[in-house]
Amino acid sequence: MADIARDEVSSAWVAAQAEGLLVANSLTKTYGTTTVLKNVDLSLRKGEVLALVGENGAGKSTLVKILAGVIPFGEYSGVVEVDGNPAHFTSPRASELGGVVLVPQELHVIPHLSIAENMFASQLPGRRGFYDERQAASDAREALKVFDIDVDPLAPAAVLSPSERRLIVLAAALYRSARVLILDEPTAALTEAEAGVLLKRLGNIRKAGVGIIYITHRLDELREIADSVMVLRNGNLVARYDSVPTQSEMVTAMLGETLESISSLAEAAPAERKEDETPVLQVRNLSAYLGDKRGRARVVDVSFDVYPGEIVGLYGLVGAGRTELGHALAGAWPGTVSGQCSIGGAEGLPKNIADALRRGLSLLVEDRKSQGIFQGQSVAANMTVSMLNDFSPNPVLLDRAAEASRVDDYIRKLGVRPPRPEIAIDALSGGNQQKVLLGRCLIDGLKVLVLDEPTLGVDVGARRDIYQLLRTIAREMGVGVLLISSDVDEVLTEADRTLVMYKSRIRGEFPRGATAHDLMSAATGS
Amino acid sequence: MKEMKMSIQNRKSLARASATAAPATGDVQSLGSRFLAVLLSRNTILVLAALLLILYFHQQSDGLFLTPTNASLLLRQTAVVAVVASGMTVLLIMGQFDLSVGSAAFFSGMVVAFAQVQDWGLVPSILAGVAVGLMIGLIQGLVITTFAVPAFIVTLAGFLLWRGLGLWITNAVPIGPVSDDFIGLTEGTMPLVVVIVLAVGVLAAGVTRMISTRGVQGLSRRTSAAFPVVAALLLAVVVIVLGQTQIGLPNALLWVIGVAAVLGGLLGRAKLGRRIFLLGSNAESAVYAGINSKRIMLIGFLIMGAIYGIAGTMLTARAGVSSSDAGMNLELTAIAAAVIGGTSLRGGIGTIRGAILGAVLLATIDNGMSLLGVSSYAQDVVKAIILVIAVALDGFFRRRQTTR
Repeated sequence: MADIARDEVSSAWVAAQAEGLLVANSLTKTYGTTTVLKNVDLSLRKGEVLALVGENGAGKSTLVKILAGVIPFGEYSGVVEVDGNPAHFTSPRASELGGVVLVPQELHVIPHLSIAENMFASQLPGRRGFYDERQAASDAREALKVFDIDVDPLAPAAVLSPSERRLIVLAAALYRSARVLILDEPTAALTEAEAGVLLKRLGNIRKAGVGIIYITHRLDELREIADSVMVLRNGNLVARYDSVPTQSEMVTAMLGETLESISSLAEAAPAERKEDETPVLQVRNLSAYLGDKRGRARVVDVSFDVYPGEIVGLYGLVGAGRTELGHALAGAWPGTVSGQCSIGGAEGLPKNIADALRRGLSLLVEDRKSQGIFQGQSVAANMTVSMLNDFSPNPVLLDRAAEASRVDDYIRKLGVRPPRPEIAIDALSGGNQQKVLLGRCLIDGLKVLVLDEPTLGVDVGARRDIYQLLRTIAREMGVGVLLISSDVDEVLTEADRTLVMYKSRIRGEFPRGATAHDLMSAATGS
Repeated sequence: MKEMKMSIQNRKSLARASATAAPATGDVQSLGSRFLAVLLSRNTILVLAALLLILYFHQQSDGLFLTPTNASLLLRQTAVVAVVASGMTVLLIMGQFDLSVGSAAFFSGMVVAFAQVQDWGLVPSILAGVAVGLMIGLIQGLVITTFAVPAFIVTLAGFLLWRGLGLWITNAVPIGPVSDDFIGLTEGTMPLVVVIVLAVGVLAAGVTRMISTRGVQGLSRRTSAAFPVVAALLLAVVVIVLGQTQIGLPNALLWVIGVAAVLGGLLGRAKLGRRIFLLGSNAESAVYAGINSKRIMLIGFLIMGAIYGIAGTMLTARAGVSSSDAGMNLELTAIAAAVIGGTSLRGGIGTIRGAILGAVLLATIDNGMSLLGVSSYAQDVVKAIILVIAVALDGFFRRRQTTR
């Protein structure tokens, strides 16, 4: 299948070169010894919408960073041409002047600055060295006509909805005569209705002859918007379609055949659930909002159970709401949480993290460096921070002997290397730091363990240790484990069953033995 | 929890893990390099620097510096700074800051002087000062934690407010005089019994430290176990020698020892102390680990409030009255002492011992240069240079340690 796709690619490339607006040939990018992009060709006609799909880490971002000058000319190999002229962009600014504009996933719209200032921040119209506000306002009004947005350009950007914020950035780019627009996950942070508006407006742009490269995880959007589709996997271009194929076909291309066989590796004994056993974690109609209840919902109406001794996977792509769900369960969500939750039979949502810990639920955060470890502090202090009261009954004093023996015990059982409690945690490898943080979660009376991407940035050896530890914690201590992951292989091999999130909701539950294809389909809205 | 059985590490993976682990530093260190490490530790350098300075001043002042009279004066000059620097260290470790100490201590000292003028007893006067200090700490701490105003701003306001309020009430007229007993709180001489108890206490502390160092294998490998005993012995001898002279040891020293013992114990042996270090090291991680950071910050400012009261008492006792310039620049001197003693302004690092050594070093320079007749303006210049050198050296040693 890959070979066929390859042939299609080269013929398409030759054909496109004649009328091509943007043509790239054999783009390759390496970091040290790892190649993140291998000989990728790309061609884009005027008015074409080319969708770029692939798993996290497939090379989509690297590709568009090259096209938009974020990775400057000289740091990659291959050729990029715009209108048949070589386009050697050395900076994002150069690429903008050359007519190629990247609209990143995270927009930097500053709420208290005016709409016009946000639109033209990179090159404010000036008069004798001063900012010309009237000129900016009339430029902005002109630019916003394309999208029929009727707002005062001098009003603060805070009045705009998220989709409008994205549109003003697009409008500004088009006003500066952009020929190629690259949109990275433009609908990820939008509601269904807002995304609909955005997609409709994109239709106007292509009629004007602008070429669009569109990156998305939401495969169901493509039929509405895309003319052609490119699929990347592990830095390779594995398929190019001149029309939008079925979602199943795209998912297969994204995963590749080899991954399908992975599920056969899962041979560890699955958890045996006893009849009429009560769940250790019971979640009903849980929603999490940014700010108060009128805020944007990042988790919507989620219900599920976790039983003692069970590892439940929670799979989803970036932005699906997995991390938010984990935070809501652990009392760590800064906004509002609604719904019911029971931990070990005790009703009620945790009010804060300390409350969740008291009730036997601990959370291993995803961002180890900024939210997990205490830099410069000892391994011991890092490990025992959440359980000081467990081994020090005295209300004031720390029982240092009890702490030392607890730490020694954990270091041995978790296999922390080097086994030295007194050294600063910074001296440990990522995998060993993660083991220390896993130890921190093992409080007395632990009932539910929520792990957010526990093997991110962890080497293979430590990863295997961590999987083994999770199984031991679940099976021998009767803890319910919720394993949040964006790694298909991880949930397929390690979880007893897997919940899949897509657009803030749980869209499916899969038993052990499901295929990567099943999960990916549910996670992309198929 | 205790009975959980994990047999995850088989021998093979153990061998693999230890082969890839970073080379252990402490186990294979030769005696020589360990000695060098002790020699180059911050506190040793501070002590050596202070000793060298003392010898220099002694020689330059024709033997005036190392007399019992001057030693007593030096200790009395150091005491307030050492007390305030200890409290400041606690705040700096948790990542907070206090610019209001000088003014708040002045205000508390003024209240103490008022109480003395009203013929209150010693203990009620001190308690009044400490109560006022705690109130100030509570107010500042509540504003910082509940309204999320940076400590820098709140205590900058306190810096203006408390001295302004005090001068407004008194019209800048000194309050006093206080009773002779009250002056004796810091300026009086320790009776011989107290001196002996103190010497024994110092020795006992040294021995306990040696035992606990021996007991915990692997901990503080870089300092030899006998080191604290030797230091304690030397210190005990100094205490006895000075205590026996006509001038004796000033009571001010007892305040420093009391505050240092309480705060040192808090940082080293209390759960609160552990949480203070972790909060200062990474506030976001602290939240995710379930630490109630607001409560800890509030407690920190309350501790500082008690320090205002104690420092105010000491200032008033030292001068005999509450004068309008009492505690001027105290906050800056205390921060300088803490930083010279190795406390990081970024939080998470610091010791009470270091802060006190820093205070001693600064006071030594002050006193010695005054003896030599150097102008007080030039003294400020010298202190500024020492502050910068100390922090620069600190960065140098820390980098050296992490790259090893």
